[in-house]
Amino acid sequence: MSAANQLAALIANMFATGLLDDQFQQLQMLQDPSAPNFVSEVVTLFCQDGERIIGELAKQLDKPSVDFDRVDAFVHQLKGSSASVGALKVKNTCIQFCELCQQKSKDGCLKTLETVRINFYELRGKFQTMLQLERQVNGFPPNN
Amino acid sequence: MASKNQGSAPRALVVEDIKVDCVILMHMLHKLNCEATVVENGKEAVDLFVEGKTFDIVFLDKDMPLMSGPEAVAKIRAMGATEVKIVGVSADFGGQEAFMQAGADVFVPKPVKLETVAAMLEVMMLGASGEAPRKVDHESHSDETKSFAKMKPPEKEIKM
Repeated sequence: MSAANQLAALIANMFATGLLDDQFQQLQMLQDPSAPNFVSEVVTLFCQDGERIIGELAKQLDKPSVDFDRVDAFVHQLKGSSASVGALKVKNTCIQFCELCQQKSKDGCLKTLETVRINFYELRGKFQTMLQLERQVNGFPPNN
Repeated sequence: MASKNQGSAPRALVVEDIKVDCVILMHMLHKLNCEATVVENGKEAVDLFVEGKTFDIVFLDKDMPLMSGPEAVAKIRAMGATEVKIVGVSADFGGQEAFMQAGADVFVPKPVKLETVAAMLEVMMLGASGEAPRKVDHESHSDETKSFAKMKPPEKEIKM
């Protein structure tokens, strides 16, 4: 299967499995000759930022006395950026996470953090594959 | 304080601490022929107005470090900047009340869509400049961007 076909199939699968929603289509529509790498730049930024936030959440929840307002602030950031790139599954998990912060449930937050981590890294892996395929379609060798 | 910007590109200020959201909104504004400036929190936005900078439209996120969006809106209005159009933006629907009470003109929920920004600029800026913002043509994709562009579903009509 050609790289272009693999890319199309991957993106279709990400929509079909609920990883992405129509906001990702907004990003695709924003890409144009003046910004040919717009989608890859936004996706890369989301992945970097998401990893940072998940690290911060783990630190906050590891404290003996958890500052749930601070945890909520980080979750809010991840929820916002997930919504902006169309990362549906991550966004929905963040919504649950916010509710648990309101309830000040440390156990609930820890369990949900694990779910966020799993969903985020699943999405990040697919985004990385997407970007590799995109490079091949554009005639560049894949990154190592 | 904000003067009318007649006949030139609308001047937008983006006040947003989330980098992804900032990049997306800045790109939308660029596509809509706006000159856009970005700051990371409400305090930096207020500082620009204190310095005498003028904008036609300001987009503010609600929850930011140092100073929130609604707080910045209240301060900007208190400085006498009554003509500048202020748009509150948030994923938190409860933010609408906070922004409107502070003096914002309109609230837009996140995620922000290009057609929403375009329609807003057209309505808000038409009176200031006499010209509608440049319309976005989603049909003209070169080979350079065909990969991602080809993956999209059938085009949604952008209502301007």
